[in-house]
Amino acid sequence: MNKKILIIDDEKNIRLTLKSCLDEEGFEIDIAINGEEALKKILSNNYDLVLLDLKMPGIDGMEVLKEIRKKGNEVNVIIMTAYGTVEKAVEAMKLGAIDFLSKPFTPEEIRKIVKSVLIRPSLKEGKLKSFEDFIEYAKICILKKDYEKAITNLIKSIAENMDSAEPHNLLGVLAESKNDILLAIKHYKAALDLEPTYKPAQKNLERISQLRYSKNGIDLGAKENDKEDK
Amino acid sequence: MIRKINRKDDYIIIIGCGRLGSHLANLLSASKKSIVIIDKNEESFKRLNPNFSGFTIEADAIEEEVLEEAKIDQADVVVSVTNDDNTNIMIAQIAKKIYNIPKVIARLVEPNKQKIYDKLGIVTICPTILSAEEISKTII
Amino acid sequence: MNIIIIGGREKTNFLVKSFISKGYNVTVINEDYELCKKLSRKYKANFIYGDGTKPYVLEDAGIAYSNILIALIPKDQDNLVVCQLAKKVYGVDKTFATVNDPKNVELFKKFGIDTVISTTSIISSLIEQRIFIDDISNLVPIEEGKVALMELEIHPDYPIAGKKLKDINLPDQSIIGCIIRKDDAVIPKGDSEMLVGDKLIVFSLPDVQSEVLKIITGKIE
Repeated sequence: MNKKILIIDDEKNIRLTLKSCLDEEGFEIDIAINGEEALKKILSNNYDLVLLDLKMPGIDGMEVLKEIRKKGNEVNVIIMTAYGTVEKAVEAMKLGAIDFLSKPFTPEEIRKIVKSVLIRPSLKEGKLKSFEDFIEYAKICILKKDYEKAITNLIKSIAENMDSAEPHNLLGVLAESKNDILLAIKHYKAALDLEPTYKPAQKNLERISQLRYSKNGIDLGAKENDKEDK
Repeated sequence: MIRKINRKDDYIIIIGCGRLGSHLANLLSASKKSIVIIDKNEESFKRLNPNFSGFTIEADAIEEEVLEEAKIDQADVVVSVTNDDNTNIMIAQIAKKIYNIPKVIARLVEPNKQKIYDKLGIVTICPTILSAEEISKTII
Repeated sequence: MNIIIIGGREKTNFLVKSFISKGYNVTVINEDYELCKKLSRKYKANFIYGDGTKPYVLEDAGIAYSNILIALIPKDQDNLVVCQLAKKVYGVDKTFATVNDPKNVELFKKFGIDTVISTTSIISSLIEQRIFIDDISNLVPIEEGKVALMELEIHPDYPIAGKKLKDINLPDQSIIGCIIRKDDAVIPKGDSEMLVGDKLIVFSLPDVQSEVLKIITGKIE
């Protein structure tokens, strides 16, 4: 049975790019062009995966995510971030989304991330072996809000691969969600020491420095509150 | 740097959405290539077809960060077709020498500048010369 | 020595003056007609009004016989192309370029330009160290800003006025290289006295520049 994927983006060219890439892989594709339509479709259908654009007129991506989680819908969500924007990693994590695709994305990237998200549920705790296994299982823990277990598995993944920035970045996001800003900065910097061009860590560090002690990701130009703790 | 070999997906970055750039983008997109087109001016993107399936970025591609955000390190092809020769030359060299992109193409209006780039493995397209050749074919 | 200078405004004026006084042959290529006219009346140099990034203009300027090319065009990419043409096609020995984007310093050197100076970096480093430019009559960055050379005239209110070199506590990474007193250049020794009106040529590493200035001029910030 083919997996069902919902693509939510207000830009036609993005929808076309995603659709043509995923069609080839044999998925069943559905489309929503704005937040309202997205809500309706998600709540009345059983998708295996949702690709969600954050920046949309009307109800934006984050609000869609909030609404569906409030209604108990736990569908897998991959968040698409626009070129040049700051990632709302912590906010997304709390709403059960840990996978990001930053525009522009290559067909390779799309396939890779879709595959990894769809395979993830089949991981068994007792059978984790490789770096990928541990880090993906850590993500499952994060989505289930079992943060301590997530940290344990992230550490195990680092033992399997000392050179990857990704686990350190995730440790940073976890630290940030617990308001331990100094620890978060340490983790993001560690990630960048390993891979100086690792975008998610760069953006997280940028966001943290911009906002000092605020936890809400702020999109450049958005009008969210900036809760600065001085 | 280890490059992944993408067999069917060409991830193509086009710099300059003028008449040439937009036409090229439309052609390539219709052939199912994955395109990112960069231009300093958002208005230029209006030249793209309604069915253009790719990404547009409004920015100055001469800045390193812009190229990085466009994921130039994953590009198979970089084409610089702005209307400024020197900009095209600089971007082509960055693509070739810094990012080792397999195929780099630059548009040069001034044919005399080609001499520098022959040895660097950058393909230069000179519309001036091509047009003259085409026209002479219809005469000779 | 044959030098070509392309682009630039005030800098071109001073460079031409300086090179001619050393006896070099100078050719200026500039797209500012008024500037070409004005300078051609002042200096015995060749002036070409045109776009220096075009090969035929460079050829008219005698680039085949030039040893040095200095590119001061406002757009970084134009300076890149001019210098590359000069080196690779016309065999010019040395190329200098100024750039606006500090990131282009490393980049242009990778592309084969001999010396690249980012005026942005110099200015921003001065601002970071809160140095006021009035005190310095001349600032020359050497080796792309790795060493700073400053020329300062001693005012009566300076703490070092009247002091001997050995009694002045300059930081380790700096040195008063030369004193110019009424057209005579003197290499100072421990007993040399700093007199009001002396012009000091001071070498220092950038990170102690502000300390050096504080010690010499007495002004804090």
